[in-house]
Amino acid sequence: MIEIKNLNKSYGTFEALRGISLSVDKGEIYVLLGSNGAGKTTLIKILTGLITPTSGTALVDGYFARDNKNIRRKFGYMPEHPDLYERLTGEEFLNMMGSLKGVKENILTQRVRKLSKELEIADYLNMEMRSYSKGMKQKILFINAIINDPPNLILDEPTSGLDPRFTQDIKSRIKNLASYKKNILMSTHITSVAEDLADRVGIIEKGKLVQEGTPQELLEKTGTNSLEDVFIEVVNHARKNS
Amino acid sequence: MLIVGFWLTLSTIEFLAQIDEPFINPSKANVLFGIFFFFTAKATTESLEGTLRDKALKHYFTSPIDSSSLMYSRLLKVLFYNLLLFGLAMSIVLFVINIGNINIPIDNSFIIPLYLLMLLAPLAGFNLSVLSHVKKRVFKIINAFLSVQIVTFTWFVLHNDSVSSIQNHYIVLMLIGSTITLIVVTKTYYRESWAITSQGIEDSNHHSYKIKLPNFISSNIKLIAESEFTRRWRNKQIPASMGIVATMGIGLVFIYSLLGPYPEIGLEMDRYFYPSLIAMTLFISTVIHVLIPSLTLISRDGRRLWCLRTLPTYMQKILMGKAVSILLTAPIITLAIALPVPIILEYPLSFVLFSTISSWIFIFLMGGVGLWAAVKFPNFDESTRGAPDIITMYSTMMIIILLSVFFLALPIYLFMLDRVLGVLSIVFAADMAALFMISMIKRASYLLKKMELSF
Repeated sequence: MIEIKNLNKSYGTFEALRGISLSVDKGEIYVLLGSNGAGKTTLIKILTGLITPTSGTALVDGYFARDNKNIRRKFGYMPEHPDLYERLTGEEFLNMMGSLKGVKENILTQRVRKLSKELEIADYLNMEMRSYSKGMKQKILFINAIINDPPNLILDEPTSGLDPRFTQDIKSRIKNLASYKKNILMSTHITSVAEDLADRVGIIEKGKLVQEGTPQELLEKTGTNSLEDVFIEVVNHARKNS
Repeated sequence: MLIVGFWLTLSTIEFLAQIDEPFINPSKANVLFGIFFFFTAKATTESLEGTLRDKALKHYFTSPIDSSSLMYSRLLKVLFYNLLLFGLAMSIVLFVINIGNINIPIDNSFIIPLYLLMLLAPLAGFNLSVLSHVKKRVFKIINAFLSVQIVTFTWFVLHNDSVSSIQNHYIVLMLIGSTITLIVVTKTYYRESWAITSQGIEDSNHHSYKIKLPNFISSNIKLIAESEFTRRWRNKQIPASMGIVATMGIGLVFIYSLLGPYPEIGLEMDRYFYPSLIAMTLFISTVIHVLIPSLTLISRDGRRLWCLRTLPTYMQKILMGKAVSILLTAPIITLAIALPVPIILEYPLSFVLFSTISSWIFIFLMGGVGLWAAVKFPNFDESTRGAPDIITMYSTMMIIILLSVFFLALPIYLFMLDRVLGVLSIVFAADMAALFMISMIKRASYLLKKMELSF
């Protein structure tokens, strides 16, 4: 389970996150929706232990990821930018990460082979990743996030850089993972992705969670027809009040 | 610390200047050529990285900027930084000479050609690096030939006694002019050189081989070390620094072949000449092969650090893996520097052992301090490829010099009194240095765990 309570993060006088609280329940897909620079990535980085919060807690299965190495085995993380060890081949990278996450060698080889084939990247696995396109790197990142079959997934803009066919494919995979009771927290600024996947949506604006609920609840609350309209309405309202 | 360091260096030069051996006390021409050669090599590397390999270039080449303007801007950058560094170094040298009352004659006959050579060096380096990447082999050969000609011509001009100093200046000015002309004439090839360099990178990235390390270390450390080693190997960092260390080793043997077993340098220094030379070479080669790579271990990861930080592994094991990747090739320092000359000179076994173990003290100290400084003062600027800033580099060197004195002074003293006692004490010092490295890695792992990766 993913649980965030009263989370604050400041850089000097700039408040990146302001008192955010949310939780992701078992088998739920929670989508963080927000404009560019709203604080989605900061929140995710705190959750994965890459950044320390100024105050509040961000816990995965009851622990802060930075302080407990075993907890880091219990979530898969896909960062927003595909920054990879470009001098390694895709296969070398996935084998290293999988082994360090504790996946046994024979299982790891099978998984890398299966997933890379399904995501149509198997032919490129022996090439250094610096020759990969952004979409190919995204696929490697996705495989890396699920390589050890973790119970929690934290995905930062997972469909960015992918063509429509693979966007669809990744979305159905995420849905499928949730059906296996994985807890999924993902961020996006694409409302159609949220519309297709979200069990619950949290809208972040200027570091604050300004609206939260199921897509249906949000549509009813705002009296609009689509998540895009909800998003625009909520963000405009929040900006007026700030 | 900067001034103290310069003072120490200049005092050493002043001391060496009293020795009547041409190899140790080189002529003005040799010093000038040495500085010119260093700055040319530096400019060549900088030009290759900044003018051809810089990833940002693709944005400029696809924008409505004339490629020759782009080339000139990059040339000016190389020129400016080299002159800035030289100006700064010269100011400190002159300041220290005056304040410290050091007797090194620096007059106009040295300073004027030096300034001119400092203008020529970046131009020659830039030219060599850009034009050696054009497609046509004929152009490559011509350019390489021209670049070699500039360097050899400079050597002859500086060493020719029949040419007066004023004539010298005119000839160097003429060389500057012709190098600039060469750059201007061949500016159309810049875009091609850039394209070939990027294409060359794309061509060589298919790998079916895997670098596997022996199974004597824990699996997590081994995995990190393999990944680190593979990346550094493919970046040609490991082969390059091994090549430099091997060349230094060959240089030592060459000096021996020139000066023989008992060089007469006076000042009762004869018997300490080779031990001092080996110690100095050991220090420099360890800086190149261990300290500099250690200092860049974290910074080079940069935005990719999330991979390691989100792993269910202790940060200490991650850093141990990185340290192992460096230590694996460190024996070349012992093999190339610490062993050959003592063996050729038929020094007693005790000395060979002492020299070998000393090399490992340097390796452990530099590995430990380097890794700690890498985490404490990371440089995440992608354009510098993780190289530490000059202050960090300098401070680290100073700390290592102090630590080396601390770890080696007593064993050296004891070795001079009694060989067995000396060897035993150096073994003990090596153990302490290894422990020091482990404790520095522990400290660094704590810092790595706390590092904010907000980029």
